[in-house]
Amino acid sequence: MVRGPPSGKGSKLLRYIEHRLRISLIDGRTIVGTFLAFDKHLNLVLVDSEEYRSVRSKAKNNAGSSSSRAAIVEERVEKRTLGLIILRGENVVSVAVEGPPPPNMKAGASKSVGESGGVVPGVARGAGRGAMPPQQPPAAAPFGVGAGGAPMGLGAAPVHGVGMMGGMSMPPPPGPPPPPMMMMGRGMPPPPPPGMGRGGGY
Amino acid sequence: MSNRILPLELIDKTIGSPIWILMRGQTEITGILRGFDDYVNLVLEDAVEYSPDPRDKSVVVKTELKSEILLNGNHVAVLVPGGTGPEDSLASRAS
Repeated sequence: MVRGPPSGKGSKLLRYIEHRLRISLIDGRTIVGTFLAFDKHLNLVLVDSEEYRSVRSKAKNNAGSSSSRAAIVEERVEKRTLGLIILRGENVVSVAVEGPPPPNMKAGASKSVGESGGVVPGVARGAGRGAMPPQQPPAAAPFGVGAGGAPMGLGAAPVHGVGMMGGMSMPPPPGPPPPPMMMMGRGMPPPPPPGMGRGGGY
Repeated sequence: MSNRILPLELIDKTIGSPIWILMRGQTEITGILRGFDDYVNLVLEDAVEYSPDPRDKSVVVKTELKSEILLNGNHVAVLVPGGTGPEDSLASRAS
C-alpha cells in the first residue's frame, strides 16, 4: 500500500472503502455490497448490495419408504438485490473483504438500476458532497456518479438537503465563479472548494 | 479525514421519500420516512408491514398500518432508501 501507517481506529476500515464486502448479520443474513461509508457505530453504507438468506423449508417426503425421517429439511439460499442500503452497526457480526473495488462502479450501478426499472435512478447528486477519498483520487469521479445512480430515488423529489449543503450555506469561494448548477448533477466538479460538502449534518 | 457520507446523513436525505426497512428476523416495513433520531427510531407514514405467517413461515402477511407510526430502532437491521418493499420489481427480479 502507498498509504502511511494507520492512524486511529477508522483507518483499517477506511482502507476497504469502495471494496466489495461480505457482511454477516446477527440474524443469519449475509449482505454483499460495495462499501461506501461508515461511522463510529459501524453503521455502513453499501451500494449494489445483495442479501443472502438461507431459508429452511420442510420438503415433504413423497417416497414414503424411509419412514425414519418424517420430513427432509431443505435449506436453500434466497438472494435479493437491495441496492443502496444503510446497515445498522448493531447487527454486524463480521465483515469480510469479498473483492477489490468493482472497476465499472459507474457503469455497473446505473445500468442495473435502469434495467430493473421501477425505481427512478437518482440524479448524480453525490457530487455535492464534495469530499473525496484521500487515497484514491482517480476513483473519486466514478464514485460520485455511482452513488447517485444507485436506486435511492432521492434525485427526483426535492429532498431535504440533497447535494446543496455546501453551496447553500457558504459564501462563494474566491477566484473564478463556481460552475453552473447543471454541473452538480453530472459527476464530480473538479476539485471542490475547500470545506464544501461538509457544511451541515452531523 | 472526512468520511464522505455518514450513514445517518443518508437517512436524513431520505426524509420525505419512501424507505424500506428490514428488521432483525424476517419482518419488513415500508413507508414514507417522516423523521428519525440518533437511535434510528423512525416515524413512518403509510407504513405497510410484511411479516411471516406464524403458522407457515414461507407465507408473508401484508398489514397496512393506517396511521403514522413510530418504529423502535432497536430491531432495525437494514434501511433501503427509496425502496418500496419486497414486492418491488427490483427485489423480485433478482431471484
